[in-house]
Amino acid sequence: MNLNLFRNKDLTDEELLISISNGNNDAFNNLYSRYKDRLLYYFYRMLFQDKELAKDFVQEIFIKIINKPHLYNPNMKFSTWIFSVANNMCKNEYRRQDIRKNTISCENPDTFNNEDFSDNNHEPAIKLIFTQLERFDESHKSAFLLKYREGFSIDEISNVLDLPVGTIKSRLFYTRKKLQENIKNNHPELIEQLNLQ
Amino acid sequence: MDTFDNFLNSNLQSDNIDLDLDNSSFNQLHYMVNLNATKSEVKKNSIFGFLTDFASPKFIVAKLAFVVVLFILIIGNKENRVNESFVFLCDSTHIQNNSFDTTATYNNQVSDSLFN
Repeated sequence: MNLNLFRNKDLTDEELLISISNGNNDAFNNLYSRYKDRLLYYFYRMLFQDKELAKDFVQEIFIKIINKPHLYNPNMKFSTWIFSVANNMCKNEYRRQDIRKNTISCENPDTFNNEDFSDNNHEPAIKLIFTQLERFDESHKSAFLLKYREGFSIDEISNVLDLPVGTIKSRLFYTRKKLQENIKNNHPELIEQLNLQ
Repeated sequence: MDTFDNFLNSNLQSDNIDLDLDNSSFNQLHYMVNLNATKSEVKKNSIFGFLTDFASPKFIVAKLAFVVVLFILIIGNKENRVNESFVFLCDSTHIQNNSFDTTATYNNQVSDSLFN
């Protein structure tokens, strides 16, 4: 069993998926440990920072992987594919909760809470960014997370979200611009800390 | 790229949230992997089980008789097919001859009506 675990570590995600469909538990452990934290973070940030919902979604996505491995599109990298599945699950959840009605339009995401962010530690600044990000719609949020959290390229984000490259670029630019403007206007003490010009 | 972009690139990847998955959910996933493995094993057994049973030395006479009957049926079926195709060929030749006759008669009639 330990030998299997050692062998599985060298396998690609795609090879692990094939092993899982043949009932290989070690392959599953490996894939699970590679993706669980990344997916948990993604769902947490996408789904209104709801911890329980994020956990449920991670469970659900792994159930899909176990029961329907044939749905994997071999033309895509596994990481791109799994995040596109995750993104579709979030979209469905947004639809289900009809959240769009309640989301403040990203044309005017200008309200902030009045926390003290003057600390030199980056944590509060990041917290502020994510508080602000909650006010953007799902596709802006998703593109932002995939770029800055997951480190995906623009092409990969375009595949995940099924949108043209130009659209992704403009959404990222817009999100960054709005975040900067709001921080400059409402939290000038953070300008230096966040390297804003 | 602006400096804010650099800040985001270098700081968001290291951001952590105080969140962990339960063991129970992990165990449930493991159970499902095992269940799928059992299912595929059952499928495999149903396909190869017959062949394995057949290869065992039990009831060897009955199995041999079964193979002989199967062989005879296959040969018989082949012969039937040869006969059927022969009959078909004969039929098609007959049709061809008939149509040739009919066309010849028609041509004669047409030429008769034209020249007489």
